[in-house]
Amino acid sequence: MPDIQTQGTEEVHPDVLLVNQAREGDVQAFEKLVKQYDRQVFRIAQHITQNREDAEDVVQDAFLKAYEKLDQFQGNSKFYTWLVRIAVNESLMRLRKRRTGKMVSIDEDVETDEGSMPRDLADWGPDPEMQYGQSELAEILRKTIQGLPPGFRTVFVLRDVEGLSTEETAETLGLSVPAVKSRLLRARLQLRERLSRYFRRNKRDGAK
Amino acid sequence: MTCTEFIAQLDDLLEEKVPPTLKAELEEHLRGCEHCVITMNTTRKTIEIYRSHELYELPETLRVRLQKGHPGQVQEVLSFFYWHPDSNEVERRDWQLFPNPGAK
Repeated sequence: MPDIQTQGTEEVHPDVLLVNQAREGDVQAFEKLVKQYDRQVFRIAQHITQNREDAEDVVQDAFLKAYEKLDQFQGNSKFYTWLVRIAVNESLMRLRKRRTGKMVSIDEDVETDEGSMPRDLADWGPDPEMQYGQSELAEILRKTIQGLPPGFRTVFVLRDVEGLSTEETAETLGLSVPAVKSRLLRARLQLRERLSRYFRRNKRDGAK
Repeated sequence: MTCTEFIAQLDDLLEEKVPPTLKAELEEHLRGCEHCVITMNTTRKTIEIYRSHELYELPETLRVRLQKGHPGQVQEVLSFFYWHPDSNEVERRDWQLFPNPGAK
């Protein structure tokens, strides 16, 4: 994360300086913002759309929209969270198109009790991921998170993978803080439950 | 404290955001509940595993495309409108025209 610079008595995030330069036509300043956040935006888009082609389009469209709307960026939130909000909206639109026009929103499939109370009591070994090779593990993690409803998946990715705060996640998704907390808890518990199938202790050595 | 009450506080506990009195109650519950100990430890591990593994890397082709023709360099955008008969929606699609990178 970039350092905060102090200008007078106010702290100015380096992104704000780059945004101001980009607004004045400095192409390289915007280029720096693209380079800084292209990996994160791609990860988020891929997690939500679950489609490589769509995710690539989302990244391009998100940066294009951000550039077109730079004047609308208020500076009272981080540029990154503002950019993520654009990318999330674009991703949900793509997901909707893939589902032949069926509406997809951040609220979809979240009214379920699944995952609110853990059922699987199996403990995991100290380093459960060591049971698998890197590519096999990555496939397990991808498959597991893909099974979550989009509303849970998105909250988990923003909060736990990308490290946004609860408040930033709420602002980005247009949700209340309690709604984010509730979804995050259920997303974490559902993932935990699903990963238990792979990570439960002694699954492979059969000692127990 | 019941397991349901403990689970409701799990996220705050993992993020060490619970006040001392409540923390003491949660720890007291943990001392007598193996179920919640396992749930807490494996949930923590779930988060760690997802944080530490990059599941989707930025494709090199996209990285190059973004650098060679990022939005700041767009010279012209041609817009087309498509009608979707099923949903009766009109969608705008933009074709972005970038400068030739070799022409600098």
